[in-house]
Formats: sequence, C-alpha cells, structure tokens
Amino acid sequence: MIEFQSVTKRYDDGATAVDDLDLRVETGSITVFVGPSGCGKTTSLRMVNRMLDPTSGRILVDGKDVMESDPALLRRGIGYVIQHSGLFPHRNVLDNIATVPMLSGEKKPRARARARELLDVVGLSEELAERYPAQLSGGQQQRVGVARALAADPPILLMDEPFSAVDPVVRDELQDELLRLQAELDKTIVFVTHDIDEAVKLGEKVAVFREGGKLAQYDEPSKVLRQPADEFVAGFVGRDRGYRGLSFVEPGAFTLQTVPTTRFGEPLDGPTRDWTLALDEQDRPRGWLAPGTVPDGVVTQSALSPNGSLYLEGSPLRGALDSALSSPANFAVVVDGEGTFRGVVPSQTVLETIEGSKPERAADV
Amino acid sequence: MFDELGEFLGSANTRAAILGDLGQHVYLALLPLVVGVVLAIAIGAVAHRTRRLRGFFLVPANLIYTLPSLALFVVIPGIIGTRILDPVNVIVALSLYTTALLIRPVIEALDSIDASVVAAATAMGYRPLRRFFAIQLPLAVPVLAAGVRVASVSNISLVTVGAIIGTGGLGVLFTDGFAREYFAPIIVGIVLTLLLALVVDLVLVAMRKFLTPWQRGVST
Amino acid sequence: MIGDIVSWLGDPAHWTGPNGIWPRLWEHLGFCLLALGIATVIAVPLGAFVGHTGRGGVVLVGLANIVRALPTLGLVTFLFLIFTESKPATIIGLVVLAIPPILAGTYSGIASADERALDAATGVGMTGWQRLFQVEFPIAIPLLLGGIRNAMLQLVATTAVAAYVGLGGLGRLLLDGLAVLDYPKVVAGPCSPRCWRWQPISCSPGSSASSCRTGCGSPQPSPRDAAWRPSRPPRRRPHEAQTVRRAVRGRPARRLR
Repeated sequence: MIEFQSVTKRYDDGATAVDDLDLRVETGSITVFVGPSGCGKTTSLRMVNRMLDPTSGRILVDGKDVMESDPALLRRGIGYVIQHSGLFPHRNVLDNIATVPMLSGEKKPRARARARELLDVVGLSEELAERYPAQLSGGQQQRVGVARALAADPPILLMDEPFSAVDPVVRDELQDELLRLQAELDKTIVFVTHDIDEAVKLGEKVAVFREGGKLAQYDEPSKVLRQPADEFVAGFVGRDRGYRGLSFVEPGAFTLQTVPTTRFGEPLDGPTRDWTLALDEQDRPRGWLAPGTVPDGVVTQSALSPNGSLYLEGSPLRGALDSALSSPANFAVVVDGEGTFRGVVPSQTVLETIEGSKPERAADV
Repeated sequence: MFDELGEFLGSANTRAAILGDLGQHVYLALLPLVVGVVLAIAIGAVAHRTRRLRGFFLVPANLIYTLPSLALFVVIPGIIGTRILDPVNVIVALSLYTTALLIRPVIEALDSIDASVVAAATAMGYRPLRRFFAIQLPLAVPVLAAGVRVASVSNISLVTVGAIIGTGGLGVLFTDGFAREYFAPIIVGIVLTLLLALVVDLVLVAMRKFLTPWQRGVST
Repeated sequence: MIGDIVSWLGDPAHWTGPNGIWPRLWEHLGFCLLALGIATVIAVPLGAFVGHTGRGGVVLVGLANIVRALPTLGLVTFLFLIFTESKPATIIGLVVLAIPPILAGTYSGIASADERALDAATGVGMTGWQRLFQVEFPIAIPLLLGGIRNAMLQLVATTAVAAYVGLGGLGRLLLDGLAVLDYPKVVAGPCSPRCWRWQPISCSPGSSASSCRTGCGSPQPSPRDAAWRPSRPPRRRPHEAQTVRRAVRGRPARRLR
C-alpha cells in the first residue's frame, strides 16, 4: 500500500507541482494518475521512489515513511518503467533485465538465468537475449523495460507514461499484456498517463490531476466518466465520454425479448411474417430471414441476410450498440459465452439504455 | 635529397638514435594523453553538473589552449620548479593542453547521453559514483573518443616543439637537421611524426570499437 | 619571480628598444595577419567550391587531418632549408598551417546551408553564383569566422616557434630569455599577444617584418645557440661525422658554433 499524506512539492522557482495530495493506493491494484501535462502526476509518482523529495507531507510505503529509507535501497525494491524505456544502450537485453539483481549483489549467472525467464514472462523470444536495445522495436524495448522492472520481483511497480511513445496498435497490445501480467503477478502498480482512454482501460482506480498539482477526482473509472466531480474533470474526460461510457458492463441492463426462430438446414414451415433468426443445431445464430420469405427447400446460407455482430451477454454496452446497428432486423442478437442464442434487444432499447447511462452532468458541457 | 636520406638512414647508430627519439616521443606524447584524459573526465564529471561550474572550468580551459606551446614549455619550470631542460616540463604542459582540450568534449559527451537513461539508472537504485562508471562513462565513449583522437594528434605534433628547449623526441631531428642544414633528419622526423600520429589514431579507433560493441551494426 | 617579471615589464627599455616588446609584438602580429590573409584568400574560395559542388569533401577532410598532424617545427625547419631564408619559409609554413581550419570552416559553413533554402534560391531563379553569394555565403559566415579564429590561434602559437629559424616576433623574446635564463623576459612573450581578440591593426605586415632580421639566419652566433646546443645528447656523433663529409664535398654546413 502506498499512502500520500498531505504531500506538497514546490520547486525552487516557487512553482507548486503537487498541492496537498492525499491519496491511498491499495495493494495489488492498478492505480492510474491521469491529467494534462504539468499537473503533477509524474512528480507525485517520482516522489514514491525518492527521485524527488516532497517539500512537506509524508509518503508511506507499507506504513513506512520513504524519507527514512536509503534512496538507492528503496529504489531497488520498487520497479520503475519510463517512457522511451530508458534501457541502457550499452548493455544487451539480458544484462539490462539483470540490472537490479546485480546491483543488489546477485551473481551474474543467476541474475542472467532469472532474466531469461523474464523474457518469456513479458512475451519476448529468447533470440532477443543477446541483442542491444537499439536493435529492438519500440514495443520490444518497452517489454524489456517492464521485464527489467520486474527482475527483482518488487511488490510495487511505478510506470511513467510507459506506452506513450509507441504506435497505437502496439500500445493496445502492451496494455492487454500488462493486464494479463497483473492478473498473474498481483503487483501494486501506479501508472501515469495523459491518455484518459488508457487510464480507463487499465485503472482499477483513476486519479485525475489538474494544473497546479491538485487532485481533482479519485474514483473508479466508470464514476469518473459518469459523474465527473467538476467542470475540469468533465472537460478533461471529454465530450465523447458518453461513448466511452459504453465500455462499462451494465449487469442486467437489458430485458431480453424473443423473436421467431427457425432451424438452419431444415425447410421453413411457411412464409415468414417477421424477421426470423436462423439457428444451427447448437442454437447458434446463423443469420436473418427477411419478413415474407417464401419456403424454398431447406434454409441455406444464401437465403440469409448476414447477422452482423453478436452481443455477448454481460459485456460492455458498446457491443450491444454494435450488434443492434449492424443487424438487418434492428435487433441486437444476444448470445452467451458458448455462442448460444439467448434473445434479442431492439435497437431502440439499446439506444434508450445508453441515453439512461449518460453522465448526469452532460448538459453542462 | 634521396641519396642524403639513404646515407642518413644507412648508419646503424643513426637508426638506433632515431628509434630512441621515437620511443621518447611516444612517451612524451602519450603519457600526457592518459593523464589528460583522466583529469578531463574527473573535471568534466564535476563541471557537467551545473551551469556555473561549467563556466568556471571551461573559461580557463579555453584560455590554456590558446597559450603558445613553446611559451608553456618555457614557463612551466618557473612555476613548478623543475630544471628548464627537464622532460617533465613537456609532460606537464601537454597534460595541461590535453585536459584543457578534453574538458569540453567530456561535458558534451556526458550531455549527449539520453537523460531518461540516467534517470532510469537512478531509479534502478544506482548510487551516483557507480552510476557514473557503469552507465555514464561507457555511454560517453563515442563522443569522447573523437576528442581524444584530436588531442592525440595535437600532442604528437606538439612534442616536437619541445626539442627547442632541449627535451627529446622526434623534434630533435628537426633542430639537428636545421643546425646542419641537412634535409634527411627533418624529412625522417616529419614522416615518423605523421606515421606515429596515424598509428596512434588507428589504435584509438580500434579501442573505441572495442569499448562500444553496442554500436556495431547500428546506424548512429 | 613575479616581482622580477613586474620590474622587467616596468622597464621602458624592454618595451621600445630594437629587441623590445612593442616591435616584437608588431612583428608577431604582422606575420600572423599576413599568413592569415594569404590563407584566407586560398582557403575560402577552395572551401566554397567544395562546399558548393559537394565534390572532394572526403579528400579535403583527409588532407586537413594530415596537416593537423604535421609537426610545426619540422615544417618550418624544412622550408627554411629550402629557402635558406627565414621569412618566406615561415610565411609559407604558417600559411600551410592556417589553411585547414579556414578550409574546414568554409566548407562546413557552406555545406550547412539548408537544402530547402537552396531549393528555394534556385526556385526564385538565382544562378549558381547568385546562390553562392546571396544564400550560401551569408549562411556560412558564423562557421567561416570560427575557422578563421581557430587559424589565428594556431598562427599566434606557431609564429612563436618560428623564431627558432630566425624570425622575429615574440618567440624571439622566449628564446633569448631562455638562452640567458632571463625569466621575466620569457614570461613577457606569451603574456602579451592577446591576438585572438584582434582589433583592427594599423601596422602593415611588410614593414614590421622587415625590421627584424636577426638570429640564426645570420652568420654570427647568437647567445641562445650556446644555451641549448650543449644539451643535446652526445650520441649525435654519427650525424656530425656526415656533416663534416658534406662540408668537405663543398657546401659549407651551416654550423654556427
């Protein structure tokens, strides 16, 4: 657990970088500090491993004031990942990863063996072990950076805009990878970003900072999106936050309706009156038959209008919207984890649900 | 001119004397190079830290480098109390030059290192001294090497001036040839000085390659 | 020692006499500026050509490096033996040494011009010459001046060495002082020429140079020879034997002792 207690950081030129910050980062969670540049999010992060010292207030790591620790020893116990990876250009991948164990006095062969295991953990191939950082792609470098931070198995990981320098596709991959890793490793992670999407995707809790180093809101991401604490947060989260809100699961948001169904590969009983959904033997949707389709032998793929996307029950609203909009019948087709048909939701209902889940303060923006 | 040269080099005694001069020259040029590199790294590491310290060291460094070598060779004994013909004078003077010449490259080399790399090293838990030797110094080699090459060529050339005040080295061949109005030693001296500069330069390039394996095959 | 220096400098006779500081200083500056002028006239067009056309850059850098390694003293003594007179020998030597920095400065200055600026220049219809004079030269000026400054620094130092072959200038003071171990005189040499911050100087190089023919170009011995010659190790004998042979062959060796 990391605790900020009335932490203020003022620079020599009088600028206040962090203003009276009170915040608690729970053990085993990902907490994201987000905000525009110059809002003190990075400064706050850097005070945890004493890259900077607070002007006043205390920072406790597992109940111990960091100012009481030797900075070098404190840092060896806290993983740190930065933008542009900060890898040592003159050391190969293995030696980069082995840095902290070697600093702590580990013998080289053991440190390297551990580094080799970590390559696999962060999804890098063994072949890269002897390469130098300049011979890696940006995404690979970031993975090495994460591996290096994990090498000494620190309970805490500080990540300072680690993915902001890579292209969006790779960034997405790295984010997924981080979530997967976190599910295995259960670290206490503080993650700094200026990208609200990244914050919402990764954070179990999000701390929104504003200029002048003030904490504007500290909450679960869905709350930050739906109930921004003030104008600033609302503005920062942006106009399209309604759409972002679709990313959240709405348990039991929809009452499922039924539609006529028919069996794929068997003859129709008679002409269809409404949109009819064709299901295969496992009850998986195959496509729609338009109203007024006249029986002509068995139902084949060519008779069907394509389904569009399916909405997995319990998944974010965005999927329901997709499904409703892509369906020729204007129904979102709901399936369960096995792909079995569960029911439909009329697109009107989906839209109304989204309306209903809009942030309360939307009118202010 | 060529038969003069043959005549000159034909004597075994002359060849032995030249070899001695060459050895002395190498010693007089390279010892200051080593001393200068070490001093410049130490001073540069300190000066690198703040802007004010930079000026404090760079201004005198620039001034020293503008002093004529002959003047320095002659004045140094008065300052450090050696005899006027002592080779130590040349060594001290050239060490001063080398240091003065290299302080700026050292600072620039340290500046050229990506700040995020140094920050990462600090965040990994390096203490400043170890960080300097394990991270900053190795990464400074490419830029520093260029400065050292210039200093080595300059030193090798400047040692010859020492012959005027009577210290050894290949410069003796020039004073000698001048005094006798004799081309051969002068030509031999010039050629050997140039060759020595070339060989030392090649050695430095090889050392740089050896010290920076991470730069191989990377276009930087 | 400091006191000695101050009192030596305080004596007006040491400033204005024929071997005083002022004449020596003017001489020194004169030689520097003459060599600088000649070198500039040669190096700037050459550097501009290479920078403008982009041809011969590699050769030029290689040559500049070789000249940098060329020992000043060797070059000057070599040229002296060819011309048997100190002035042309040292002037040529100084010019050779001053060319590379100016050449490098001009070349890199011209080559540093932004491609787009050059494109634009061609685009608005400038000829090659117009482009050179109206675009490339103005852009090159800072680096070019830097090259000239470096050349001047080197000249000031090297001109001191040239005193060895009988040229005047402040090096004369050094060597004369060295000969009689007159320390204040030696110090006056290097401390006076703040040449690198040169201001417009009214003296003409030619006149100052002509007033200084002393030293070992002339047949009579100067005291400095006595001072440094004996320090040479006795193993020089083989050369001396040969010199005697040469003397026997007809041309008298220039032995000053």
